[in-house]
Amino acid sequence: MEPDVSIETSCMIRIAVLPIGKVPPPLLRDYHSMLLPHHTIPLSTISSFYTEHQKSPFAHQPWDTGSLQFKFLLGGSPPSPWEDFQPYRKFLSVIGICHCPSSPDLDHVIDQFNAACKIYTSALVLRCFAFCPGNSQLDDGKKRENLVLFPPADRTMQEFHLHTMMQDIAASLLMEFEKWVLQAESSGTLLKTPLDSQATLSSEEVIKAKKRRLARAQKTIGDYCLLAGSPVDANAHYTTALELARLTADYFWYAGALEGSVCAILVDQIGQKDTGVEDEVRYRYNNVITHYRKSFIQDNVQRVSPITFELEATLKLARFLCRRKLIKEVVELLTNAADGAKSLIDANDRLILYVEIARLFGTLGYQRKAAFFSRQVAQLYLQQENRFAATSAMQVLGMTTKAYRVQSRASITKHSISNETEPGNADNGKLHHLLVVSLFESQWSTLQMVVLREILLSAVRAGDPLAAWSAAARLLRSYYPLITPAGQNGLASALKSAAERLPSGTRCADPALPFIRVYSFPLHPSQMDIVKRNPAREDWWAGSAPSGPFIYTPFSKGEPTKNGKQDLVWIVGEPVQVFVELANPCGFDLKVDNIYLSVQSGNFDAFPLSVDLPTNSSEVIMLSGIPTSVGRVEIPGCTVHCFGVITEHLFRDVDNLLLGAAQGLVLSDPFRCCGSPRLKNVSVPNISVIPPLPLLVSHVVGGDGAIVLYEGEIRDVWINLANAGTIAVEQAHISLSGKNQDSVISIGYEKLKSALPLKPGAEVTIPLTLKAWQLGLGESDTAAGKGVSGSMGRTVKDGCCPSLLVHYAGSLGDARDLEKNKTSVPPGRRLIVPLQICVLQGLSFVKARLLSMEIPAYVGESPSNPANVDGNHSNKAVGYGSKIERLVKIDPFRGSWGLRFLELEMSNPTDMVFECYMQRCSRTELC
Amino acid sequence: MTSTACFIIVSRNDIPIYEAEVGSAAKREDAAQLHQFVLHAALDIVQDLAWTTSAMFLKAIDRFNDLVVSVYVTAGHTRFMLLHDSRNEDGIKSFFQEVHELYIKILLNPLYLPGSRITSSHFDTKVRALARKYL
Repeated sequence: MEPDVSIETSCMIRIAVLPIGKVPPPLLRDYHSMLLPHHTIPLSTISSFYTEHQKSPFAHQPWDTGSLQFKFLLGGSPPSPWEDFQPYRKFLSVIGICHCPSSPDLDHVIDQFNAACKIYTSALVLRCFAFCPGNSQLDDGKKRENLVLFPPADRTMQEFHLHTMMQDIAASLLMEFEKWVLQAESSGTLLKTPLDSQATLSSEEVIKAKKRRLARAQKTIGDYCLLAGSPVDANAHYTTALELARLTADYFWYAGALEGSVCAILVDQIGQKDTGVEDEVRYRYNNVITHYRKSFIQDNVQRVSPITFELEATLKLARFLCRRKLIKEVVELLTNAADGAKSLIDANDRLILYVEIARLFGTLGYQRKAAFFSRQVAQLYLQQENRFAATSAMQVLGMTTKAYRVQSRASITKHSISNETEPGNADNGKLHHLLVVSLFESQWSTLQMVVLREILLSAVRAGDPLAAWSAAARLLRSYYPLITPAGQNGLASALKSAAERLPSGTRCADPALPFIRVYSFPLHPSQMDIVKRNPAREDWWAGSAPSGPFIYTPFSKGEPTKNGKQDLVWIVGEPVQVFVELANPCGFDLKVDNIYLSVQSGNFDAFPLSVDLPTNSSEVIMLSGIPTSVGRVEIPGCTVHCFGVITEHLFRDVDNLLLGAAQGLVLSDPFRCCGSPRLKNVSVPNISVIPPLPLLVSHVVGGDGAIVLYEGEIRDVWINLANAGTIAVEQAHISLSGKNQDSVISIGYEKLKSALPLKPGAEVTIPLTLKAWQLGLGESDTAAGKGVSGSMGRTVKDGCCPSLLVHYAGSLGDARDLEKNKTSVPPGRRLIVPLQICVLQGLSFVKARLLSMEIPAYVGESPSNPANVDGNHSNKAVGYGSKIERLVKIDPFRGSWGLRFLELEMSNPTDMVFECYMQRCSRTELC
Repeated sequence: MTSTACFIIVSRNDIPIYEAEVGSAAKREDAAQLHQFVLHAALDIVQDLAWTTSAMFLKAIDRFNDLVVSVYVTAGHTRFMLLHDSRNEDGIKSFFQEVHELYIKILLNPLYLPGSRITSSHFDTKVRALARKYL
């Protein structure tokens, strides 16, 4: 069987194109491609080369509209045993191609050419085209037969020369055909096919063959008429041949003549759309197929069989109907043809048959059918057990991957990827079920695994480590739940052995393991907050943070952010962290040599990390990096060096996979089977990088621990602010926030102001005066309790301490820039310094009571002068000393002094010693 | 009962949601794979043929070597595909109709998500029993 046959094949003149001498393959391909456009030579253009020696047998040759058709076969092929039956199988001409610079001796070239032509006994016209001859070769005036030198010229000129030469060849062929036909009509040659070659043995068959001779001769003349571009003549001869063949019951030749006649009709009617012709073709070809079947002779079935002709005729008809889009009939024909494969003896024929069936199904748009037969082709190739066959198998299987949905990512075009991202972008938890389903359409896991295994096998055999790696990676990643741990180990070692044969640093489009998903994108810690700057106001930070008690205010909120995605701002030169979760659901220990964030925008330096993942495990790791320039940062996934190859792991794929797993469409969720808890879908935020900003870091002088104060204590604290950024701080302002703000009595604003601008690396120390607040009732209880238990209650309660807010910013930038573009103001930052104040209970008041006491009066002694009334008294001094008289009143009736004592009971739960002073207040006047 | 038979339910999204080898012949893995390959390829023909007739049972629509593919398309475009080597059309038709009833019962289950895999063991047993009865 021959590949690529159609009804019109019968009118094509086959020409072998042979390289003569050394021709570099790219040049040979180039010369061959120059020949290809000359596949049709109109008869009208060859008249100048044509000389009529005798009366032409082609009486009805259409000199205005007809043409000769060429089919160029690079490298030629051995002659077919069926040449006599169908002359289009003969190589009627040989064209040698010689590249002069690599073969200087033209005589030698001619010898080689003649030797090469030896096997093409049927060739009527021989030409050797020598390209790029040197001067010496051109000057060598020796005339050599059949050698054509193409003078060096540009391509269009050479093509023109070639065109002329092809016209010459066409004319010579036409004259040769005439000669052959005249000779055949007069003398007559015995035409045989392998079908009746045994007939020579029996004399009876010879006699029968002689009877049939005339019919066969007529058929062959018709064939030559067709080749000569004269369908009307051909038809006349075929009609005679059909009559005669029917009489002699020569079914095989009858079918052949019928085939020729259909071709003649088509060539004659070329360009006309006539449904009558279509029906005629269909009717006649069905006839052809039946007659080929009839010619099946039982006794030589082992050796040769006309089944190939039957199948070829079926394919020809199918191809014809395929153009007319008669799908149902084509499918029927192809199914029948596929059945014929069983009776084909030669494995090569079966291969060609399946290839043709697959191609025709492909043209019908039946991709799955085409894939099925392509896989059959691949299996036939794999049976051949050699490297070239394995390469072919791999290529054929590669074509089926689209229908089976196991494409390598490398083969998917950019366009389709961008289409796929559309549903991926919309995944804010509301992805419709149908949309999810469509992501996993046509998941025939059994078939997909088989196809991938076969690709792996053929790639290993063909010695293509990258293809093997990619197939094994796809197999492992997508179907690990269906593969036994032993099988998984086998794939892992296949990956390793493929990687050993690849150069280091090879990239592959298909990721293997591990599975990677985003765990979280940490926001800026409060020490590094970024605040939008309003250059028009003195307090530029105002309005940027929500004011008032509400988290959401409709006024501060601008337009809602798209997709509900959060926005993240990174700063050039400041390291950032992203948490990702890795999972290895397979039965082997996975060693990830390197993993880092893959950034398409190119303005990010990612730091690689190496991870070991044991069997069936997942791990959250922190990946970090530094933004290097201003702009957007796109983080589609991670780049992973694993199993010796660099691959790109996209977060989107895993998100889709998890979504599918949630809907029961995918085999298994890799993270859940590793025991990782279910996570909410985290999407990658919109990240933008802004120019460097100053960065203040703070610490409390004397240790960053909590500042321990006793109730009411006043103390000075120093806070050190250092600029760790690369930009000087031009503006800074300190304010307070949080509870107990009044506990900060004074802040050294002037110290800070005087230190501005704070150059990178510089630092400033700001004094602060703190006063401990009063503990509330509950607090004092707990504090007291803790005091008793000895832990000293040094834990700082969140939320009760004030914080210092330091708003700072770099320079405003050029004023002109500012006018041009308001948004170009670099933002400021906010440093929150929580003052970790721990207030401990000091002296506590337990109770107070007034005690009365009577002292007999010593009449005559007046109370001392009341000048010292406002003096300070310690409680220990109450009731004693010279100033006692103030408190004493004389009871005029009882004649005694009435004394009132105030007894205060204080407790000191601490281990400190307190000095106490009493002060009289106006409201708490005694007595 | 036929020696080889493979029954598959394909959802409207071309995902196989139920598969069963119901033949009496000894099960071989490569044969089972070939069966699925043939059935998968036949989907191309079903896709065109389903719209040319109002009948649900499309009869034998495709074949490869000795294996014949018969198809039944439900109103929701779920396809029941049977690969077999015998030509017992009536039996196959009854088989499909009874499986259709079972499939509708599965669909009525509020916990079943249409288009996802049928994992019910009850369904599996019933289908195998039907295969023994009709094929």
